[in-house]
Formats: sequence, C-alpha cells, structure tokens
Amino acid sequence: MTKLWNNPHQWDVGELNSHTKMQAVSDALEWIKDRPYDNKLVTNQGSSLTQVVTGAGNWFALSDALFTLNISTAVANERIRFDFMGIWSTTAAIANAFYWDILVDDTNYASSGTPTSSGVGLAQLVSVVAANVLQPFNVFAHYVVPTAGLHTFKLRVAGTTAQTITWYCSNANQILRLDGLDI
Amino acid sequence: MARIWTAPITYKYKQVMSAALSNEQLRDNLEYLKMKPRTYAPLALVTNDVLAATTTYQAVNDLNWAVSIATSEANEEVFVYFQCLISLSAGTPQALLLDVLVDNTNYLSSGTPTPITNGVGFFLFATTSATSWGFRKRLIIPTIGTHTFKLRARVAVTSCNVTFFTANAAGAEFGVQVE
Repeated sequence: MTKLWNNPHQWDVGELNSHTKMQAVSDALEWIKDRPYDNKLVTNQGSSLTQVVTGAGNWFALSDALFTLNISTAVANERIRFDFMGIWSTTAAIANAFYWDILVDDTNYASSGTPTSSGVGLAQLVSVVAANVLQPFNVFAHYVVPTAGLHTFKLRVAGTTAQTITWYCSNANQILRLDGLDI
Repeated sequence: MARIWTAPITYKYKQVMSAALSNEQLRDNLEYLKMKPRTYAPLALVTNDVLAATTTYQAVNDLNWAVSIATSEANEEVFVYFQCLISLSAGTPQALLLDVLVDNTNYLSSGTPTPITNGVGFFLFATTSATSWGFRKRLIIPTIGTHTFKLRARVAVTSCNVTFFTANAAGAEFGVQVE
C-alpha cells in the first residue's frame, strides 16, 4: 500500500530523534518505492467502444466507468504522467485525428484549465487510408496538479470532424490502457 | 525545493547523527528521490517548427528542442523522450530519422560524435500526411554536472521540409529525467 507522503523532518542542532520522525522516514521510503499510480486496462469486453464525435473542441467521455483514474497527490504541484494507448479506427477517410484530454476533478481540463480544441494532444492522425482501417496509438502527456489530495482523472476525446470513432477492446487481442503515475 | 543527492554513508558503531548529517542523509536524499531532476518542454507555440532537412543530421530548432538536466553522480541513468506530430513535404518513399546531440559532442544513438545511420529510430512516411511519432530511450551519463540534449533530424532520400507541429497544443513534448 502506498503511504501518504510527508515532507521529511528538518533536524535542528542537538535535536534528538523520535519514533515519529523515523516513521516519517520509513513512510517516505515506501512512498518512493511505490509511487501513487492508477491504471485502467480495458480488454475482452465483447464489443468495442464507439463514440460519435462532432468536431474539434466538442469533448466526450468515452466511458467514465472504464477510464477514471484516482490518484492521491501528497503536496501541491505534483506531476502526473498519463499514457494512453490502444487501437482505433474512424468512419471518416483520410486525414482525421482524435484528440484526448483529461478532466481533472470534474472541473478543469489538464490541457489548460478550460479545454483547448486539441486537448493535451493528438492521439493519431490517419494518413491516406480508407475508412475503418485500424491504427495503433501510443501517446503521453504530463500534468502538474496544483493542489494536494485525492484527485480523479477522466478521459475525454474529440475528433477533427463529425465521425464515428472506434476504440478496440472487444477481444483479448485488443487492449486499451490509460495509465497515470506520480513522477 | 529540489534537493541534491548525497551518496548514503556507511554507518559506524556509535555513529553520531548530527542535525547536518540527518538532514543530508534523510531529508535531502528522500526529497531528491521523490522529485528526481527532470526537465520537459511541452511545446504549444504559435507557429510550427519547419526544418529544411537534408540527408545529414541537423538541428531542428535549438531554442525549442533543447533541454538540460543536472546529474549528481557518475554514470547516472537518464531517460530521454520525444513526441510530436510530423509531416514531410517530399514525395514518397521517404523516411525521417531522429537523434539527440548530448552536450554538443556525442549522439544519443551511438555515444560518439558520429550518429548511427538510423539515429535512435526512424519513421517511414508513405505519404506527406502528418503522423504522430516519438521515441523513448535510456542512456548512461558518465560525468556529474549539467547536461544538454538537443534534437537532431535528417531525412533518408531527398532533401525536403519537415514540419514539427508545435502550434495549437498538438501534444509536442521533448524531455529528460533522471531514472
């Protein structure tokens, strides 16, 4: 179990140690060994996840039941690294992208506080391919959490144009994964 | 506050734990481990970076694509990563090759002043359409001190423009961190 981080004690000259000070050292060591982390791995669902998107800047929850991370930050301005990876396709041919963002504590977006049209980044831009061609994606983004405490991080997606996007997770060969790690 | 790492001591019988020693060995080292040195440059600029690339490695834009980090002991392991949406102006087939110049002397791919042919990895462009691409690579830094990392790129076949989509928060990022 990850311990809560407490800043290690600052010793003054002549100060004696106590079990509480040394316990904080012990807890800090455990925190470092097992950093706050959460991930969601979605596979073998029977059917894949689809979402009708309506253009850049219009954000959708792919599935809050499947893609909500809970991470507790110890102090202000901890940095979280998010990794999102899987396979997708779109019904719209040629040069389409899906964007992703993270909704923090149901209030602010990781991209900017308020969402930008591109979110925290592009997951992939389809090259000159026909519609419904499967494309792998593997993207990451960093976010500095301004406050300490337990935070929720929910995946949000958007698309460049109106289209239906599929994120594949219907069988055991198809894995969608969202990771968050306090680094 | 970022702390400096000090090698843990070997404790002696009846070792006196002074305040200075406790703060150095416990407080500072723990806080260092919690927040190891890292630098990253998420690039959300007004314009894209366009490189007139040739078949030899050259700087993409050292104002944007350069990061530095301080190592506290010899042979520190660091992790360099890059992510960007990229397009090429030339016809096909064409490949983009990336590398990182470390301390203005050695390349990440080879550890020498001469990069290996494919750098740290290449991406084959079937068309001129934009594609998201990146790499993650570990390396050992032999010396203590501040080290710089600069992105280098070339193309494989014919000179052409390479656009790095750094505008409009497209998710471009270049970073390094102590592992």
